[in-house]
Amino acid sequence: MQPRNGDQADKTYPKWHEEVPHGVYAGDVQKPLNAVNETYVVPGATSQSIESIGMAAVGDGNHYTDAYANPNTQTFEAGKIKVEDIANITNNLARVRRAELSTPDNSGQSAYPEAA
Amino acid sequence: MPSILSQALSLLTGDESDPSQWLKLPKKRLLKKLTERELINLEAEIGATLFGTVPKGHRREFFCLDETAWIWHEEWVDEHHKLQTLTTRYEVQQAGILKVQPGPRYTYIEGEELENFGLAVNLYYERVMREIYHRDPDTGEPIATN
Repeated sequence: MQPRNGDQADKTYPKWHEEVPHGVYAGDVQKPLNAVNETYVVPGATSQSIESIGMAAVGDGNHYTDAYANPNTQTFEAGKIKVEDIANITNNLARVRRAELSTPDNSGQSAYPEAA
Repeated sequence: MPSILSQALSLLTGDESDPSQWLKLPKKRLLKKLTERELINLEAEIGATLFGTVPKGHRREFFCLDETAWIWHEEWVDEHHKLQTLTTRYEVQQAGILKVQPGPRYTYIEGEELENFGLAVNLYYERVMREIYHRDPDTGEPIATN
């Protein structure tokens, strides 16, 4: 991709910091990461729309509950996201993926050493 | 009596053993035959759904690339019928999450964007672990499936 000057880039790239309601697009690019809240904090959302993304999620604006819930409900609390947590998840995902590629069978060997 | 398919396979492979034995898909290891790229593609399909409906004419991918990076990729056709692409790389560093975009532009994300990125990563992890790797996200242990 060619380097762009500031004017061109402003028209092409999303301004991530701006608040844009989910489903509303400014220019030609959705502001994707701003849309996460709208997906999982669903005031008035129907169960159908929730199921359509494969999660029975509920939220009150501050908490996000994954609904695979019972008894392993995962609640993600807004304002408590830590870079360290993101790093751990990223590392675990890569490790699990590698394990899937390399483990010769599924005989109970953990692909997740930290959990041992 | 061997089927026509069996005879044809024997002719092609020179192996006269029962093809039904070696044509069987592995029961326990459905992901085994997939490459890393294919696994990432599966993950990216889930990643693309975390942010709501993909606009018509857009193609979106969001996935964990490796131990240190996440990729957001979006393609769309603009009003001049030209294909536009935007790839954003999020590098997980000790100092924070560095967002790298073409240009190049480098910024550490913060505030709401960091919150949303963290939420997306958490949700991605939950779903990918359960739906693709069939593992408990908390323990990493396999989840019994019937």
